[in-house]
Amino acid sequence: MKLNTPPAPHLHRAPSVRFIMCMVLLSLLPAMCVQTVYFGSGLLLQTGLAVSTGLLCEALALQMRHKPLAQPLTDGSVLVTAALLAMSMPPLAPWWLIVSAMAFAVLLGKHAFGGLGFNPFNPAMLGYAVLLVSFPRQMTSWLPADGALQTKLSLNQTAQAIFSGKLPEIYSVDMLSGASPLAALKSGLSQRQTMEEIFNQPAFGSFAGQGWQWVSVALLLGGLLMLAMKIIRWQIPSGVLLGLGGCAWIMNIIDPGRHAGTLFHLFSGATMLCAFFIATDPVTAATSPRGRLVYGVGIGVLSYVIRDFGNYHDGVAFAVLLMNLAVPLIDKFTIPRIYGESA
Amino acid sequence: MPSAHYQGLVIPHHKERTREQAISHAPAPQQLVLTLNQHGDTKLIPCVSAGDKIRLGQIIARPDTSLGACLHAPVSGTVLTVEPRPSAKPCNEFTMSIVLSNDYLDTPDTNLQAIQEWPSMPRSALCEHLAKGGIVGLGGAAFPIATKLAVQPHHTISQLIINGVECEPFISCDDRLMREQAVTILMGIQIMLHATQAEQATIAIEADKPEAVAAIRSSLDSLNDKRIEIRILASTYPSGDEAQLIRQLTGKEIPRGKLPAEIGIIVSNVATVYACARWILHGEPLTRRVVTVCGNGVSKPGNYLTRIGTPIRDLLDHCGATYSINQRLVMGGAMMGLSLMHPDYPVIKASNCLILADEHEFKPAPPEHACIRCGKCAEVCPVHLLPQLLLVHARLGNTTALRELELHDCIECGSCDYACPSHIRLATRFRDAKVMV
Ligand code: SF4
Ligand code: SF4
Repeated sequence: MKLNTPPAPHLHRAPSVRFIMCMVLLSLLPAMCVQTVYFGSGLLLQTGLAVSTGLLCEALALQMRHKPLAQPLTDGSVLVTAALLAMSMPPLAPWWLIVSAMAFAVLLGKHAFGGLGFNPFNPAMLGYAVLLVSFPRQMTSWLPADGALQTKLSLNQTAQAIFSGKLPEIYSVDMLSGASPLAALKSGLSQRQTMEEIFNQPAFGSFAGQGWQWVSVALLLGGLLMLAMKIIRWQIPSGVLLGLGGCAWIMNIIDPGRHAGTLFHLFSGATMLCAFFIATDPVTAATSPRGRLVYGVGIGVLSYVIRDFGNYHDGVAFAVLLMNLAVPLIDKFTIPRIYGESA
Repeated sequence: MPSAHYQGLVIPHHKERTREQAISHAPAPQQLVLTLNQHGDTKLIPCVSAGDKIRLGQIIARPDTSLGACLHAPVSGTVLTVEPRPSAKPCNEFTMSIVLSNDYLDTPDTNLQAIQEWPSMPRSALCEHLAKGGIVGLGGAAFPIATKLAVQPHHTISQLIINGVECEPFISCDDRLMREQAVTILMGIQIMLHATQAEQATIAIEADKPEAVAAIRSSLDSLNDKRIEIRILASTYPSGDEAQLIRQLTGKEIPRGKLPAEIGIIVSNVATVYACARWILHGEPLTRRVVTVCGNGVSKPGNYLTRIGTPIRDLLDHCGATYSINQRLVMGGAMMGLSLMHPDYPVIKASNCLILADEHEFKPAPPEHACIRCGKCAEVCPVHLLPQLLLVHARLGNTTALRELELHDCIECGSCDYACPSHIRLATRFRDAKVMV
């Protein structure tokens, strides 16, 4: 007779990493639908490109590192990175943009550091930031949300735009540039327009950007779903929203003529995506509950500062990367009080 | 400041197969093996040698310090030999053991006496007598009662906590004891109250044992002792851990590296208190204990009053064990229990539960993946450690960092393992790392 002698505990019930990643993707789904409705089918193609590039690069990297392929390829982490990148990309951005962003994310962001779990930087944001610095114009050419546009692009036309850069004639290049509300805000302010003039532009909706606001609402709902399922904890999202919202609120009180309000900031750009889906990436976040709050607030404040005072419309990617750098420090100073230790 | 309150894990109990089984006697075996390190570091010195005739309850080994617990003969008969035998704790090491041959007469040792007049005894005399009964903590830690009571001159004890929580899955021996022996348990508590001069005793029971609560409550009503109260706790793991128990009941924490006595508390298991009552009221030293036997490898799971030193194989055979490949035999609960290599170890005072399970009941641990720093482990750690950082430093062999992160406060409860989505064997790593630090 031979008895097995594995060490305690003898029961295991935790949901797997794969399950967690699937739930993240599920929570992201509503927002992806809304984004497709408002900004066209470009997102679907971008996601497809990102996923295939991601899986390919992952397989390549694993092969080169002589690691088994099956588990890392199927744990879903590549899919989450791909989906997040695709959502951050302009829907009609040329194909090589997302392909190189994804390659950067997986090869440099993840595998250069030793694969999932060892990467200090959020891979999606690393890929995004590298491309944003290198190709600022292409990375910010957002198509106006559907309401501001008379005709919708067919899937074919979208594919053509992405792969060959050709657009149907009724679209001018002008329509593509600077259409995002955050960008419009920035250029409007630099042209000394008043807030009212800026907010009357077609890119703006009832409380934030046209179309953007509903994507953000869907992201918020997806985020709440993840909170309810305990896939994520409240510290990071609250931190981000508090940090960014708080700054916006203060600046709006100080000078309402030059700083947009809290609601606008919370529902514009990548705020919600960041708060619930990007900053919550556990691998690159601070690890104790208190540390996570600090980390979240840091991202929120930095995002606002970059948005408001920097050269970029949105500061989320840089804010996340900067706070990634600060994680070891945050972890060091936020070790929780251990049981029985005097406070 | 993160909240310092207790937040346990909710895990399936798996007690349904044994909790309705009344305690029954396991047959006394032909041969008994009494390991000479029944509890932790105190070594026992044998005071019998091969060929000696012994009587039931006679002292056969004494601790090498004034504290500690003696070992009494669980049967009458002859000493066969004193020699090293394999023992379960520490796993599979040969440990000096006394081997007894049972004559099945159970001739009692005439020196043993019941003390009915204990309420009029001076406190110190009662403590002294209690210390001689061979009683140790029966919850699993096997801490000698003598050591526990010896804190007395230095600390004033105000509260006694009687642990009937039994939060580990599969175990139901304390549950049964409370249901069947409530009166004796309460007598034991009164004896302990007198011995410690504590003003109050609190019996803590998990909410999943309503019958035990009812039994204790009705006996308490007829006893009408205002010093004793019952507290019902939510069923979570590891709420029965001494430190967590104190925190839940009193809101106090035991200071680092100190005993509960530091804050005026003594914690004792219900089975331990029961053993005290048997010793004082019947002159019966600790030679038997209730062992829960379960797992799908046995056809008659239940709670068995077993003589210490009974070979585990004999007990399992009595419970209808069938052995097959890929089984595991666990001594203790499913979360902290020790896997045994074979059933040829004897039952010791700390053996509260034996689980013989196949790979369907105890599934092999899923393969480990990289830590994703999700912090689930830290969320469930009752001690508020950061297992994810401990893991990194344990891998690097960074002993300074491990010390800074207070690895030694880890109680090896396995909660972090249970919660980890990457299925990392954290508790095992920490057990190994402790040796290194
Ligand atoms: S639960 Fe597991 S994966 Fe998550 S932080 Fe802890 S060790 Fe890492
Ligand atoms: S095994 Fe140690 S580190 Fe893990 S939860 Fe228990 S006490 Fe915390």
